[in-house]
Amino acid sequence: MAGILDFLDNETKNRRTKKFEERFSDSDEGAKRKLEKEMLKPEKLKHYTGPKPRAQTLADRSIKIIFPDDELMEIFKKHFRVTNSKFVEQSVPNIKLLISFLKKLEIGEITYDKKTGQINFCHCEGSSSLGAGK
Amino acid sequence: MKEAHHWVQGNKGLKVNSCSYGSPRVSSELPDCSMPLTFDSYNYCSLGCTYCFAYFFKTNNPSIKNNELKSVNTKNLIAALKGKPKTTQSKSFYKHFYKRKFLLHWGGLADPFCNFEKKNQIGLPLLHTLGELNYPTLFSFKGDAIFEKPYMQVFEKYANQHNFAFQVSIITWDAELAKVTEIGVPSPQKRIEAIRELSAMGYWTILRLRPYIIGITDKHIHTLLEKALEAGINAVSMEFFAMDGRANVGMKTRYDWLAKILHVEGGAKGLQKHFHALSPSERGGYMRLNRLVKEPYVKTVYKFCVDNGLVFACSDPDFKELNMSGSCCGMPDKYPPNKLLENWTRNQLTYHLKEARKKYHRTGKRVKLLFGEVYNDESYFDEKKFANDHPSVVGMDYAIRSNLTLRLILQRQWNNLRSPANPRNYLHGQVMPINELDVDGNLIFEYSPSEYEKYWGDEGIDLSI
Repeated sequence: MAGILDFLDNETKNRRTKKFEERFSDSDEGAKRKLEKEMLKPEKLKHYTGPKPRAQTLADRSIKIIFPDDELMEIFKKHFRVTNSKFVEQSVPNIKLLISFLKKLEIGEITYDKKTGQINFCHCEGSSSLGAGK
Repeated sequence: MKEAHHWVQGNKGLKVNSCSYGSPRVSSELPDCSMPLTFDSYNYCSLGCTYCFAYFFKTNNPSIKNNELKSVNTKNLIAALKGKPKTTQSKSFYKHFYKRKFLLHWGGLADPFCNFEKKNQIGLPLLHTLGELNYPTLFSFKGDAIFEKPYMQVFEKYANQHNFAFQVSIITWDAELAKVTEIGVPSPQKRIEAIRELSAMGYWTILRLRPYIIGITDKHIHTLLEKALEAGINAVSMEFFAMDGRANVGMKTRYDWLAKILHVEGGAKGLQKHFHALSPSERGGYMRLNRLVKEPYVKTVYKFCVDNGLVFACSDPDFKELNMSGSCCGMPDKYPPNKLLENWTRNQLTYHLKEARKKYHRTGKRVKLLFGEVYNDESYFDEKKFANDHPSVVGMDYAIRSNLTLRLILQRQWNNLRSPANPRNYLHGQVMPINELDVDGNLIFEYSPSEYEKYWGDEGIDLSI
């Protein structure tokens, strides 16, 4: 495929490996190791200057929640298993309950009144309501 | 080598303590591995190879420190292979691998035929099952339990079926040098005998030239290759010795010894300095010498394979593009005697890099690698259970861990140019990111030929195979 690789500078690495091979053939093992270290050091890769990847990661799908007080935090802990570790932040691996609630909110089976803080269940006969607390 | 002798002596005659060892698993090498279904019958290996890459983390495991030998639960595994998985884990393995007879790689972190097998024979019933099921299996070994009658009988029985393949690790033809480097391991001549017997039965056999240690392996490489060819090998798979930047006391004494054999001054510290100076920093703390150092040795083996019609395979990230099949262990792309031996994945970098090199040398075109094409359609990429075995989850928030998949791990490495596992860094420039992203916002890499590809071509070496 001569011609295809014309853009390459064959005077660089090629010369280094050839030179090394010439000296290498006459050397003892200890001298070879020293020669390798002296002549065949790696080069740094070119810096990438293109656009940053936008692909989503799991971290992009995580959010931090701060509770206004300890009491609410305790209620949350009662319903969700919070993992504790001295190495990583507290987290909740299983949010099925929350997902279920959000889905019902999304399809209108539950409604939330921002002004009063009331939530209403609309899907069954004789809909009930819950106070949103503070 | 006192430490390695002590290791071998301490493991002599050891009986299995419990059958709670969890294997198979999905290999963390899956970004470029054709056989990520990797299996070991024991939790560690009885042999004392001074270069062993598994030794460091195995010896940091408290149960191994106390010589607690564990084996897999063969009953459960056999049941799972036969379509009746009992545990949640084995149900996942059945669904994603066993059901479609995905190739099993036996001998990832331990030797299937080491002294533990001689004493305990845990693997024997499993061998029978794999034969009965015509299950494709590649064995990677050095140990000589395979020569014992019950094992050879199994392989003879299923020889016409051709569902087994074997790779035998040999790093030197010099028996004296092997004796002081690989403590307690059968001689290279004995291992060549294993290749001869298995090849004579008609099995696919591979010389596993790993790790290729510059200063040891190169001394008698021509004789070793000739002897292996004469014994009937079909392929050669090579990978160079890499040095972990971390070391415990046992590892340090092994490095001291290796430094002495390799004529590097300053013991373990000197060896570390040598590797540090010659290894690309982009690859992180697992130090692999750069391709300039390796080139003459690869050329010798590659030329030998071309001249003798063997499959050349290279698991090393450098020269990985030269693989003649998409499996860097040297499994065939096509195997008419038993198509099941072709049942390894093409959804990995080795296959795509090999295809890119071939296309370049046949047409001059530089192939672009897209994340969605390289890691295409494998159900196990999206199974949450498998991601938890991956080393990258260590220290990770449990909420993230429990939602992680192998595909997400692969994608994170693909897009993170600071990760040693990023294709640009791992292959050290053989693929380079171009200045555009794919439709999903992932980096796009392009085949970037190395200079050797020009002058090897000028020397008449065929790079289009």
